[in-house]
Amino acid sequence: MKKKVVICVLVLGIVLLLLVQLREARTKYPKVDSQGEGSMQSEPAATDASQEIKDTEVVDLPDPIDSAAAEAKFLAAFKTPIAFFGKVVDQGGNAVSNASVRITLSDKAFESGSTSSLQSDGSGFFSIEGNGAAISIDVSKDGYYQTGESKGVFRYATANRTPLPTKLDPAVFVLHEQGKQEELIEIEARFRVSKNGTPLSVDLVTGERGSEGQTCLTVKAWTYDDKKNDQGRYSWKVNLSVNDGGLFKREERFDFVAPEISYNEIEEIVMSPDDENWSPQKEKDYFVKLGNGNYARIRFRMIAGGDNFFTLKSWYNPSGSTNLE
Amino acid sequence: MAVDNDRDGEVTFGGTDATSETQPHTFWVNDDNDGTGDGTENVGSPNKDYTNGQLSSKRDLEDLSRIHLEVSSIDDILSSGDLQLGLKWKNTSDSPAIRLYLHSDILGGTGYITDDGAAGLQIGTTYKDVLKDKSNLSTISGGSTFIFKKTFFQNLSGSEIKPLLFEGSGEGSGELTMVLLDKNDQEIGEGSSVWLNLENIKNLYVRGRADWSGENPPREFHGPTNDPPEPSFSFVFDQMGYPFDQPWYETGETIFFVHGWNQAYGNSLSFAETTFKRIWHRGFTGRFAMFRWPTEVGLTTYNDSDYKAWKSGSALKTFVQSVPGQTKNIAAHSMGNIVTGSALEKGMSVTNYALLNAAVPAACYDTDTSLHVNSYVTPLPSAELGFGGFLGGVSGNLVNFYLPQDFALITWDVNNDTNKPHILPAFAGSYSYDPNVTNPLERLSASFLLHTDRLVQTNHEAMSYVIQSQTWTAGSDGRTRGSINSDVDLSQYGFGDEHSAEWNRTPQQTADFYEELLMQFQIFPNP
Repeated sequence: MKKKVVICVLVLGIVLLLLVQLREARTKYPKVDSQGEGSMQSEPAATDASQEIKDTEVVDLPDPIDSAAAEAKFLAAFKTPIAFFGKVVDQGGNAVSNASVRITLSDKAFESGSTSSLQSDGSGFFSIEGNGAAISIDVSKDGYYQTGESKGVFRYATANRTPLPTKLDPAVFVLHEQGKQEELIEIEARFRVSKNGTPLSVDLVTGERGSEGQTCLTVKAWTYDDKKNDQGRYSWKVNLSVNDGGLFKREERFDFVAPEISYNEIEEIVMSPDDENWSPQKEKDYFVKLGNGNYARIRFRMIAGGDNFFTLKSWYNPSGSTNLE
Repeated sequence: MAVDNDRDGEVTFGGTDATSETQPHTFWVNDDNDGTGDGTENVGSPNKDYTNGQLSSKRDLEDLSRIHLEVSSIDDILSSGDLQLGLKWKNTSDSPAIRLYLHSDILGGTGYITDDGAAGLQIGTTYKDVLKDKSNLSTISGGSTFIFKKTFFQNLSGSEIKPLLFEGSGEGSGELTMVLLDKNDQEIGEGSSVWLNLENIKNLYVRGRADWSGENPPREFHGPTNDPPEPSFSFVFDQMGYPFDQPWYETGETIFFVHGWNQAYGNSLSFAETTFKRIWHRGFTGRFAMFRWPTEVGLTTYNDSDYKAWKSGSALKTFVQSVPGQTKNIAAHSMGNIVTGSALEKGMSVTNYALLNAAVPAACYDTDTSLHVNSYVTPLPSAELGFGGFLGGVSGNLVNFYLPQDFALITWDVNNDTNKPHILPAFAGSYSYDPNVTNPLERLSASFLLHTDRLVQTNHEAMSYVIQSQTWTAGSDGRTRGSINSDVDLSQYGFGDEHSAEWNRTPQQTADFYEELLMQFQIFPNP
């Protein structure tokens, strides 16, 4: 009997404590509503300035919820209604019809989402209705290159700063229309190179190490990774040259036509430990005018330090045309 | 007979591929269970792959190494049966054993590891079954001689080599020797040999485990006004009965691997061993080490595990310091990047650090406001217990392998939205943030049922339980810079929205990723 009384007192005590906790939790968040009592709570303004909490500013906060409600809200987020609107255009802003649109709805917590696909209509538009915490879009079409704007992930269950796409203001996905395709000799290779400037030549026709012939790119690297600074950085540089030819920096991804003049005999990549953007590696694209008068474009990536090597992708046009697409 | 002992991707007879008693070709025993089809890694299964007599999955192929036979001068007489070729062990230590498979590539290349089509052919009807000798023997072990059937040589058609694959089916080392036998099975001479060393894979890499079982385990929250005590975290080398056996070829590079959240120990070992196997096949000859930290397991344990992850940094730092290596590189997955970031913030030194699907707010590394995609009312700078710049000062070459669609990191966003500030179950307590308090360092508080309310004053507790991030994770946002040097978009490997594709997909589907990982560590991958 005495034991039962003790248990009852303990249970009552715990209930009392819970009530005190709940009361305290409620009073921690005095709701201050600038729009008047009972109005809908407004979302924080979507500007950077709103994040700087000033000492005198009173910020409205949501009511705290219990853990079960938080869990329910968490799971419900993956059922958030989504009405997504998109448009596919080419590099000139022209609508691209019949583009393939791959869709992933993030409709499960910690699992892969549901996938589907559709095609853009005659005006490049498409729309999707579904449920999920987010939607991922991946647009492609034969005869077009994907660009950095061909994909996107749009979150629907979190506090976005930027507005989500609407029917009137759809998300825009950009494809780049391909031009005339040439018969190119494509090589992809990887070579270790000395750290002391000993030259290494690669034949852009065969991809093999070659003598310094008319279709060869010559690489010289100097890597001082035995002299690292406190941050582990070191100096390195690499020289690229072409026998009786030259190199021209290729800046635009979709620029496939090589210039006929203004090639440099040597192109140099230099990295100093003091560089703000120091990295042990660098990738650059060049047009190459070869000694035999033909053209190529290359993607050269130097990885300086460690095994000290470079990767090379090359597209060589044996026809003599400057078109390297 | 030859193997790729210098691991350059080419099998050559003699030269740099030569083996010896002190420089054997070292490989692991195929004692996991990779299932069927694409396969799944199952470490510690009683149904070991070397017992089933066939290559059942594309994943199983990473448990095979190459061995080439050169018999072109005697292939005619071997195919007639007047002379027989056998393989047997000599000079053994323990009980080495192997099983052979025909290589689907007549040139004996590495496509079975790197190419999906080649892998499909290898596990197809023609090549999947273990090679049996004329007496139906399928395992080369002990003192027995494996005698090739004469039909084995009848389709050589002048090729110079007979490429085979082998799996280890018994631990030990020895000299696998070619022997010539007459038609009555009498040995009449010996040919060339290769020295093999077959070990349990756990002998081939180092394991360290955060030892959190001492006093003050993480998440021990004390009142009345104190911060939670700093847990006594250190690490222990976890041999698990398989002490590290330093291979003869070891170079000065070390790669550390740190697993993510919600992984039981076995799962994290599985991820580690998958990583080791895949970089081994690409020619990595340095030391591999995995670090186990005390993630909780279960879908409602995210914030608690996050807190433990921050607290595990000091143990990781000590572990990394304790494992030798001229160049130390680290690859961390998901929440393992919290552990790694914490260790770096405490001064851990590594040359290169690959963040894989990092479940860490981009703001931790980069305070650029263009990354601010969310509109939560929450502190920003780390000086006010926010995420902003908390890892902005860490050094090393940080490379962000990000996946924009990553399902787990989208779930992370939802957790950031709904489970911060954190509420404990059954009204046991809650965290709160009140921006109306004047002093920025008194805006975060904790209220627990059995303790007096207190302020939250440490970054680790604030970041795990209270602060909502204004940014996505670095692992889903390739724009993240600050202390991050460069980025690699994982979607180029076809990983879609898979958070752990690097381990869950086949070796062939992930070959390009592991090649890039090695290159980011300035290690030359074999072709």
